[in-house]
Amino acid sequence: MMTLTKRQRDALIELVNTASHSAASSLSELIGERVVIETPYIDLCPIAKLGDTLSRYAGDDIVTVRQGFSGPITGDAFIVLSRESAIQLAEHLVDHHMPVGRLDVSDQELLTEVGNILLSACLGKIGDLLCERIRFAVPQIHVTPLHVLTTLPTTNSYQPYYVLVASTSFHTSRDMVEGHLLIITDMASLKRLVEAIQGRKRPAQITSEDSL
Amino acid sequence: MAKILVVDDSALSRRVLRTLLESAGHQVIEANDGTTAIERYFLNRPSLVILDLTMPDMHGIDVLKKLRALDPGARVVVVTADTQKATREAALTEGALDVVHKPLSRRNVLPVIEAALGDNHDDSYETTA
Repeated sequence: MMTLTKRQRDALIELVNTASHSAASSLSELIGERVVIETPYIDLCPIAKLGDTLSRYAGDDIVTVRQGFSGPITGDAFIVLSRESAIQLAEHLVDHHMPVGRLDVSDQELLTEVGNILLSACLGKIGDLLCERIRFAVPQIHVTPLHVLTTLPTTNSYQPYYVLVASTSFHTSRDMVEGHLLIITDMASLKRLVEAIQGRKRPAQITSEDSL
Repeated sequence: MAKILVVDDSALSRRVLRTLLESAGHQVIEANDGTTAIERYFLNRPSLVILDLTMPDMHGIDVLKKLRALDPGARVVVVTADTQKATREAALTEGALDVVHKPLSRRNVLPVIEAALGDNHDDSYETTA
């Protein structure tokens, strides 16, 4: 089984922590509330088990904004909100109450743009670390369970056997909105990230010595 | 008052920008993709273009390159959620006057727009081509 060393894992957690705080700062600016970010969780997951892994983060009744990225690293990033949180967030931003459980086209448009801002802020920090521009795909909103989403063709053409799943949870100070930020990348991207974080010239070694 | 072309695939962002710009007395023309933006630029001769980067048909940097190739005097401000330093450098290298990061607000948009417009508030179109 492929695993990360403790040092690699700590480095990735630090990176995701920095990137997700950038996203939190953007969300805080949008809603005018403090946003709390939990310590990120890093998982190296066989692609065949990705659906099971992701189902741990959210149930079926969710709204997801997905943004593919490519360049020095390749993958997909997701903002995952429960339907309730998505409605709360949309209500807060447009300042009107919505019919129970309803997210109409303009609400979805709003959430897509919010997802775009949060994911771009997060991925932008990673691009800055790599000193190379990451290219973003147009964000898309889904009201599909996450494990179903991952069976769809990915935005990019990467076909990893293992994927890095970096996850963090966030919530606003009044618990108005709770959600997850997920980044899924292939192994080549993982190596580039670890190299960049550790400032090494040689390729990072992904070993089986230390388990997660 | 100036005529400003807003280019963004997000209808929401276009609405926000329209509201901000009209409140400052400007006239707004919209385009939801790069190809339409180039057409409307030469049809309407705006004083300024506000350009998003992540769009489905053409990336904003390519739109910027094309506009500036066809009209080196084109005034463009990039508005994007992409906060990367490399993106900002690429936009400025291709001739953007400034880069504004989303989320958009009166505070972060209008001063940049006014600075980019300079004296071009009368819609007079001048090209250096």
